[in-house]
Amino acid sequence: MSIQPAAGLGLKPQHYADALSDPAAGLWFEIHPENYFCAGGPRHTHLTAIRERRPLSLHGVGLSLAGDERPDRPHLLALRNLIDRYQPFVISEHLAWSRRAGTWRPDLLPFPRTKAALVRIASHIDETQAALGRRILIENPSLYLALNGHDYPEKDFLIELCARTGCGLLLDVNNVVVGANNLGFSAEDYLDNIPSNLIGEIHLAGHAPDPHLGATLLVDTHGAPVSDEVWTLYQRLIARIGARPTLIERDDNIPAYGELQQERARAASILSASIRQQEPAHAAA
Amino acid sequence: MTIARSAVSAALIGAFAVAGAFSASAQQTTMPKKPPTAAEASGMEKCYGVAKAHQNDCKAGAGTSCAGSSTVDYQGNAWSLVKAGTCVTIKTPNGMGSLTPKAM
Amino acid sequence: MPPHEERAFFDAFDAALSGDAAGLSPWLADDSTAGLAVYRNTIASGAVDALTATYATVVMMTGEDWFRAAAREYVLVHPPREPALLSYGESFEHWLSQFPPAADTPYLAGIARLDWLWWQSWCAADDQLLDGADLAEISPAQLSELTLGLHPSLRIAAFANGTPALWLAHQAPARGGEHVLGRDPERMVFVRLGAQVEARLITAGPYAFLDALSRGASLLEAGQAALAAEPACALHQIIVTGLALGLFTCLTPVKRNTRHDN
Repeated sequence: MSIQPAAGLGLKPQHYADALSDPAAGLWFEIHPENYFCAGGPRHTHLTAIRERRPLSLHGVGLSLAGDERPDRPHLLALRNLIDRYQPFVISEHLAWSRRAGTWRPDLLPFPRTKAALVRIASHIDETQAALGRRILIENPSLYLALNGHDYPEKDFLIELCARTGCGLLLDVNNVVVGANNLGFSAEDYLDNIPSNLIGEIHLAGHAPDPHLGATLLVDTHGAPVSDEVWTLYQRLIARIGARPTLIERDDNIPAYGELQQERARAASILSASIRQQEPAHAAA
Repeated sequence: MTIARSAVSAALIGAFAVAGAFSASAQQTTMPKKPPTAAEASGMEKCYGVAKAHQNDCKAGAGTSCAGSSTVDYQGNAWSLVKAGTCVTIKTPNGMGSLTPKAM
Repeated sequence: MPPHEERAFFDAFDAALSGDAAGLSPWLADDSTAGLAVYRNTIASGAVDALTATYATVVMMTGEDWFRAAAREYVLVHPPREPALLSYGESFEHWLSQFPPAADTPYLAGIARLDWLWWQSWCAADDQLLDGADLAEISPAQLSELTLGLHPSLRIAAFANGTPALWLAHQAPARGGEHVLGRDPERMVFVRLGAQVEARLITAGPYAFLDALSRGASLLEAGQAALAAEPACALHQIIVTGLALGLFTCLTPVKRNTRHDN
């Protein structure tokens, strides 16, 4: 990417007008492409206007790359059409599954990270990248269920997928926090051990304790501000790897645009501090 | 019933003669109506029908980003619940609920 | 793990989502299945939320509790078959018409159909509009050779009673009124004009005209159909209002059935 890594916002229909007039430097937007799988109409009109002013990222949720079926061809074609139309600067999907036998479960489901799964998912990513004509980033999902039968820890599985397919990673710090809490691993260890060069984008979002079970089960609701713990881990991550495009993700309980702007500004200041720190080193090199 | 070709022809050609007044550019001048503001919507939102629903792309879109919780909140049983309309009171010609399903 | 065991996992997970977690036990690392409940609930709420948005007018008539309970049952029988929930729930109208708890409100299925058509219109492709001046060139002899292309966002629906006016009464920000469901047939047209979907009641003539065009009829046939359905209807008004609403996209030769060539 030729532009400086900057902070972006998830684009919501409630905020189209605010998004269009937001003067923030470096601002970019991310959408779920599936929400734009319609032939025309107001959604595309708004997105076209925003894309004329801002870079756009496509963050897919339904490709089911970890499933036991090959990626859905019509889905890939619809994605390709959106890519041709909007020229996103980054395209991402999840390490999860949702489709089987022609039906979709609207969620990001877990699976045993076996050697066979690695081969299968690598081939799905290959097929996707070939169909889209682009490299994609793969996101670590939120985890709620401790499964047996893993041959790899998640971070090693992701690193191996990158090595085999040339894809990169979208590191969701909140998902790491949620998974670390629910399954009992160290979020710091996880984040500290992802090679810097693989990370193409970072997601920050809010979570909530389960209303029934409390903090033993955190739910990735995308319905609250980014937590302090996530901000701390994010700062630590940026200090290690340098600036990366960073998204404030909010999909539920959507606040006024100004509230999201404030969260974005916080990420932006962390990024610009990192860039300022890096500059003398670059000049010396 | 067959309608005389000449009558239809005369009516259509007559219509086409005045149709030129409607250029394509004149048709698309309707500006998008602003969605209701929060203030307008408070107390009134129940009657916006589908016109406001499209603002919600999590709920009309991919869905996966709006996670639920471990608490199952679908214990409601439509057989036992009473319908509670929130907009206007609907009267059917023969009194509430007495339409025959075939009416449509 | 051999491939067949991979498949066994997905089968077991699907069964667990449906409530039978026994087959998944070899893969579960501890006794807690709270995580499964999160997945199960997210899946259900994603689909139910989509239906709640799509069928917003039905929700208004039943209240959210009843609607969500009913939608939950629909989702179990008709899970999403596309990744985009924008286009999920087409069969909800039919399902609702046979759902016993909806029997005392028989207009609900029709309201669902109108909500669905609204979304279809809202999502449809954009297209250029016909310039009315193009029509001035047509000679009477061409009326049986030419047809009007309809805008991709055009949808029409006909009802044996006043369901369309009932639906319209729920689209304006006025609450607390009373609405009597009409006994007479009503017809509705939806079309996107700018960023708005226009919903209008139309009489039998314009309905027949648009219906005929949507089946590929010539201008002459469409005009005949309009007058047959409503002898007093004014064809010029259909054309002029249709142009103003942006119903037409182009003037094209009629595609005749290939039967003649065989």
